[in-house]
Amino acid sequence: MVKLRAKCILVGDASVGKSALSQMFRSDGAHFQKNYSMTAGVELVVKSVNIPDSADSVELFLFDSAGKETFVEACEKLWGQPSVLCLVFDVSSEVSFRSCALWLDRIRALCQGLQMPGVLVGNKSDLSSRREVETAVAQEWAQSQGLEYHETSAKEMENCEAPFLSLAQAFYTLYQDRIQTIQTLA
Amino acid sequence: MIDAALSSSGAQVIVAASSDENYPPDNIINGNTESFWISTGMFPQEFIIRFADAVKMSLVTIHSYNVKNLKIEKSTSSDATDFDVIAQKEFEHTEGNLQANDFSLSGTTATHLRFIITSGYDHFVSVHRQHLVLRSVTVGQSLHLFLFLWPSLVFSSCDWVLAGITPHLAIASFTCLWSLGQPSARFPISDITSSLLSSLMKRLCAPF
Ligand SMILES: Nc1nc2c(ncn2[C@@H]2O[C@H](COP(=O)(O)OP(=O)(O)OP(=O)(O)O)[C@@H](O)[C@H]2O)c(=O)[nH]1
Ligand SMILES: [Mg+2]
Repeated sequence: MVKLRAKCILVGDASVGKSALSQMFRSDGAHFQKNYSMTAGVELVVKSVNIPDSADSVELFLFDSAGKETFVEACEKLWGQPSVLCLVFDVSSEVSFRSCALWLDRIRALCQGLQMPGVLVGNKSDLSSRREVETAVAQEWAQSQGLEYHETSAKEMENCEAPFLSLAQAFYTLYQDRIQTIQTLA
Repeated sequence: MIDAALSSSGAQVIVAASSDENYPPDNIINGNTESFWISTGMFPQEFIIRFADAVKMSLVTIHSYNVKNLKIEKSTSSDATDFDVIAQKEFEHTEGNLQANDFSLSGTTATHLRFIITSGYDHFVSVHRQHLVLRSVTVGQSLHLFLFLWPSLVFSSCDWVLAGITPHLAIASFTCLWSLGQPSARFPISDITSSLLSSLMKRLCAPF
């Protein structure tokens, strides 16, 4: 039985729903905040995820970070060495999708070649009439960047856990790979 | 070579920040590099080694993988408090090989050593072996210390012994041990065979 710990940074433009997603995850879907309250730094949410078919778990330390540019530099200092990445955009905002490439550049610069599991999340899938980013387009870009794509609606409690479960699983797989590598060294 | 940081010498790992029961922190001090302790995510990571007695150290060697920054602190208290930083180093990345790094500790005394890994080249880092060389005995130091060191001496390193003590003192200590006859409970000398003893005797007597 092992309990891994992963620092998961949540990034993406302001008001795409990062805090909404992390609060849904924390409260198992019991808490959706309708009114926008801007995150000015980093809010920490800690939750353990069980790995299916094992006695093992991954404790996720979600660093729900500010999307507003003026706060980002301060956030970067708090991130340190992230373990996994959750990159969020709003499917009803083309602009927020375009920003994802910039967010990714910024994080890659920070990680200096370190392999880091990541997911791309298209949130607010409930706003179907205002959708600006097609699923296929987002999916294709995510794949080209080595990210797994998920669509969620924090408002409708749709699929909100999936991105985090998949990150936990990816981190767990990475751990097992590393043990194998290290065993061949000694 | 003298290795006080071995579980067989009474050393213990008393704290480790993370642990997988398949790769327990005790693997750091079991004396081989095949078994290891692995961190289970995030930094910093730390472990504390407690010695059976206060030890005077000259060199500590760490065998590890993917460790980037390591800081060593020591405590001289009996309850692992009041740690002071005594060494700090950035390790090189050795893809596909274990890292081996020496820290020279110039005779500092400690009851506990705390190792803090502040960053890594990967999400997970492993420590395979921690090896500690006690400070060689210098003239004027107590016979007791020599006796304490004695049981773990490997006799191929006689030159080391001679470099550290005067022949006179060596003979004195040697005679003292010899006369003890049976291995004492505290300092088992079971691995001293008679042939090793006689070869050591020859080398010790050479200056006369
Ligand atoms: N319709 C809809 N609205 C959502 C959804 N998720 C979040 N919202 C709303 O979008 C607004 C912004 O959500 P937040 O979670 O605060 O956004 P954020 O990404 O944390 O923003 P910053 O902290 O400024 O970076 C809030 O009013 C939420 O109620 C969703 O899935 N659907
Ligand atoms: Mg927020």
